[in-house]
Amino acid sequence: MKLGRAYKLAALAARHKAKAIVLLEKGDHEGARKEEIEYLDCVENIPSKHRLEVGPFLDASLQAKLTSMAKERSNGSGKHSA
Amino acid sequence: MVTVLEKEFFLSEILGRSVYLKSERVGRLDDFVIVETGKLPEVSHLVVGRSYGYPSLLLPWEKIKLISNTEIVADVDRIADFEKPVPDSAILLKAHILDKKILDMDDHEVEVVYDVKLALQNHKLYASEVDFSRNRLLRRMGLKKLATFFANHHEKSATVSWMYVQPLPEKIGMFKGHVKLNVLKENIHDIHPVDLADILEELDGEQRLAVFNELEPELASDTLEEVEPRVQRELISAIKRQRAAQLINEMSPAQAADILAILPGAEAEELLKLIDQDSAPKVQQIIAKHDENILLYATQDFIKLPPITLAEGVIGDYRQLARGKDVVMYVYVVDEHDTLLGVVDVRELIMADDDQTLAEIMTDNVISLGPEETLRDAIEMFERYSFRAIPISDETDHILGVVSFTNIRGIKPRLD
Repeated sequence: MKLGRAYKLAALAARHKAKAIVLLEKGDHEGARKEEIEYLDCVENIPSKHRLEVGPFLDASLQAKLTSMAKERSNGSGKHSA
Repeated sequence: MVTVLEKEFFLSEILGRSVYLKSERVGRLDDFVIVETGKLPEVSHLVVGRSYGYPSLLLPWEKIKLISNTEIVADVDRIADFEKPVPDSAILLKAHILDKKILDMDDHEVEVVYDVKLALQNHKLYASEVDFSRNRLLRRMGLKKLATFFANHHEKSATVSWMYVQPLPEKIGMFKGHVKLNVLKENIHDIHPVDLADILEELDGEQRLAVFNELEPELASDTLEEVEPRVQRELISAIKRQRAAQLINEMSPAQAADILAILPGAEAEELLKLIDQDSAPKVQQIIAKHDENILLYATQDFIKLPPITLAEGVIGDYRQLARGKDVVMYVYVVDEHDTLLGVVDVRELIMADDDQTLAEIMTDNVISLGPEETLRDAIEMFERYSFRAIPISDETDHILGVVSFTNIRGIKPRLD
């Protein structure tokens, strides 16, 4: 189940990366830096032989997360305006 | 009338203390003989060890005049009258209780006695409590500072009244130290078979058998089902064939098959001839099924999703996803080639954040069966891990199916 582990690490990496982007947008550079380090740690821990294979998954996960976060934010602002 | 400076003290503190007959030192305290009085056992005699070549003394408690912090004084006229060996029937605190396993009837646990507390009441000495705590052991080893440190920082006192403990047999048929055997016989039937199984697993071979032999057939049968296979094998081999057959007759065919399947072939064959001949063919049939390939019991109707799926998506579509599926409590995470990447329990899914992907929340260290494994292997795995379903995957982690507990429940009803 090594591949499973690689996918899990890629998913965690995507989460940290998404958090880093959101924090950066908010101007929290220190928080963003910490998340970025976590992201790099996760990527580094992915076994090298699986890194190429899970790369597209990491990108897609990050995209899905950012979309979901954006949707959540727009729902949140919608609620406020209502 | 005896004078005792401390009304309560530990056995380990008094053993080895010098014993005087009036003013003449005669030896050291070796042990106490106790007798059952209904509640707490009472000290009836002191066993005094003497120098090499001299027989030990057996001093009645009534002859003891003083127990101080340094000495024990007895009042007897003729020492020769007390030069006798300890009778075989006597129960000795040090020899039969100290450092021995006993049964804590309150918690249904097997413990080791590291010390015994003695208490004086109405000029009689009683064994009032037993101490299971390791700091008592450290104290006995002379490590008082360490014992005090542990007592203050780590370990709570583990003293239990004698009323709630049951010394256990050391050898089959030898109930020395069994001051409360009747209590064991009466109370053991109140202990749940699962707890009894735990107790039996902790005992040594002969102790285990002695306790097991005290059980009524129905309780013995239920307990036998609960103990681990190693102990099942040991007990079945040790008890008489007729009793083993009687216990197996108390079980359902599936449970009987489970027990017989772990025995050596010849032993199982012999027992099959002795058990109820109406159920023997059923038992045999089930044993044969145990060797069948697990894929025969696997289903393809389970939920599998790609790792990128968001938790909110799965929760939102769950009813649709689960419709018509045999296994609905787990979501299997697979890649585009059906490689098993992980598994998510639906409960974990409910707890997850909406934006978490399955890959984030899945367990990637999946316990799975191989395609060559048998129903017996699956049963063992279900017992070991208590999962409700187990995936079957090949050497490349390609998922081949899922065997659910419900699918094999009919074969192994005791897993219910």
